[in-house]
Amino acid sequence: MTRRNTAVLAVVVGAFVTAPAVGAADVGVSGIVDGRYLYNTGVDASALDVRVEFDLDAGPLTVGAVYRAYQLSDPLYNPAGVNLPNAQIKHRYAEFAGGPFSARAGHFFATFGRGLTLRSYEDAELEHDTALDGILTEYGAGPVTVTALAGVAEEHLYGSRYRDHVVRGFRVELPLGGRVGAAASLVERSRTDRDEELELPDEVARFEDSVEGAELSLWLGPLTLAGEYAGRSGENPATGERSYGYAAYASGTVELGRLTVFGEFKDYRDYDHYLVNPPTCVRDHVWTLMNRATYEIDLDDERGFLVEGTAPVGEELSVTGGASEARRHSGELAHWEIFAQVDHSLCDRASGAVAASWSREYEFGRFVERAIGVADIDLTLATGQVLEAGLEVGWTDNRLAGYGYHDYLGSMTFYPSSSLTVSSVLEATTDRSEEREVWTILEVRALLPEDVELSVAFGSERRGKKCSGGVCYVEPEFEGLRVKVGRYF
Amino acid sequence: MTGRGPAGWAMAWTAILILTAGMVTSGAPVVAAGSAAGREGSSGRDVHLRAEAPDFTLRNLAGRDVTLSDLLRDGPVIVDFWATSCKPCIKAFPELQQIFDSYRDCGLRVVAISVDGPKSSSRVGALIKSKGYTFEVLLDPSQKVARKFHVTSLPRTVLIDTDGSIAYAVTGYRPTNHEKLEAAVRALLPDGCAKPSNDAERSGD
Repeated sequence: MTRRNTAVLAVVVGAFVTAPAVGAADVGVSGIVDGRYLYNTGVDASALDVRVEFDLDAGPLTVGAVYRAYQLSDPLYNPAGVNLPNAQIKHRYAEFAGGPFSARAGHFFATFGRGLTLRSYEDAELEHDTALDGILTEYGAGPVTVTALAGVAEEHLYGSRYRDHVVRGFRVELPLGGRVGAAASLVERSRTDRDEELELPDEVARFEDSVEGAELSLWLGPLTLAGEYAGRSGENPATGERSYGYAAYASGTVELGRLTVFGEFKDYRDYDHYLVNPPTCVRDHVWTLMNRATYEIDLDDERGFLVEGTAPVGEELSVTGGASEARRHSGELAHWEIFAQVDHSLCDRASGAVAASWSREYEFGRFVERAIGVADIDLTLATGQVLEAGLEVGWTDNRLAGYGYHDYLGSMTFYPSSSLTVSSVLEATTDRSEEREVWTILEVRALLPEDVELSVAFGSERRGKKCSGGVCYVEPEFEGLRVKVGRYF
Repeated sequence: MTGRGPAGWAMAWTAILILTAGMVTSGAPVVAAGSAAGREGSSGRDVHLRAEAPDFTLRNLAGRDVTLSDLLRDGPVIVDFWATSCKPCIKAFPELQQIFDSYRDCGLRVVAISVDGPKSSSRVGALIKSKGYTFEVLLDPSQKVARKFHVTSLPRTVLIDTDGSIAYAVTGYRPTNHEKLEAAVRALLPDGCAKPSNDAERSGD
């Protein structure tokens, strides 16, 4: 146990001891246990991944921790795709929340505005975790909210190379009447690279910068507008070399009768950082093949827009259409996408959706073009049971590699009862860079008493990119048995 | 390719024991809640599995703060965690709206908490407005409230009674979820107030 974890343990014990002094006679416990076991028959290796989260509440005090055990039978088989310790206290914290004031010591997450000046968060499914370890305080004085924080996040770069990001942030949110909201943020950042095997010179290892941001939101009946600008200025303390960057974002939603139109604009230059996550202005698709083709933006050189409209047509039909584009500041096109979806309530017992996207992603003067079509139907059988079926077909013209291919994905989910789900996915490709052509998996999920969920899957799943919230993760290929158990308490 | 070493197995079994212990412990509320003596610690302090929902304040789509404890003054509250990229979450919305329409006059409140990050939080309002949903939608871009509820999978639906206790909770979407949820809602409302939706009538409730 590290010195830091020992200190947190002392805080936990202290919280229990002092609970009566703050009027809390009871200590409440809540949390979740998530376990996952994978046995990959392809490589004859297994992985066990257990995550336990818990909070202990005693009046205004909360202490909590997240423990993760990640154990591989063979170090060469690592389904997480990132280096993880065998066992660790991933997060631990103590929090006091009394009236308008709250303070948290230990690990915390924070988002300032739309993530232009600061965004620290975890997406466990994508193995993304930018938790800060330090202190977060918030004070709500009437309509004004003030946030101050200081902390450090560790980023693993590669091999034995790590980067510590030390952050100090301050933010004020101020509503100006009922229709206008304003906020200002200041974040000071310094980073230090370290290597467990090498001594790094200061001019390479250290950098400091600060970000100042301002936001404005307007709620004008059917029209909602928001805008945010952040400027960055930094200096290498060893060389004195200065650098600047900025991020600008605006969005608007307008209701025109039954038509809802949404648009957003971005302009990012020399702005990439581990602890920012501005909007991408690229649609997050819910369909597997489309999501896998998500364009990843370049925060150092990108501007563009997304526009989308949705309108019901009659009582049973809803139509959505949209387009997005991204360019470099030189004017060079980086990406575009056109998307359309029609949802239809076919009858009392059936509903469906069809969707299509067409996109191009440019690199080195060439492009990868994709066209993807989806059809999805939900049927309620005469017995009351529900069957969902979906088909996705994709065509890719990869001008970077000089060849094209097709992808096919069929899925079927059957709900025989309220606590049982049986689903299967069959995927095939003509992509000659893949070692196999067909993948198929069957999964049974059961909801057990006491809020326990169990799922067992057997078969194979294709490797592929999985994107959410501007972060993408390549899910490795899987073949074998997967068992998951989850229990809230 | 190396095989499993004894140390690897030992660690794996450690983790299995941790998981088992967690599952057994998490099954404890039935015993603990039913036995006051069993819940007493040596110091006389009551240590129990928390049955109350944590209070929270989040901003809605109109920029106004909404607090759970304020909503609970009107009646039970359904809290539904969702995201724009979660297909099952969006599938569940018409049923959630149906339950809200049926019981809003009885004091039921429905809040759909979007855990979308900044990337997609701007799209939340457009999606809700385009579909005409009238339940309250709150934004939790830092997932601060989702973490308080230990939400690790979406959708996660929690029904909270007026005293703050969690009456029903379910993870994931199944076509019949709303029938159980509606039955749980009706159990919390005064007799004569509950106005069953068509589905509940069909299911014979």
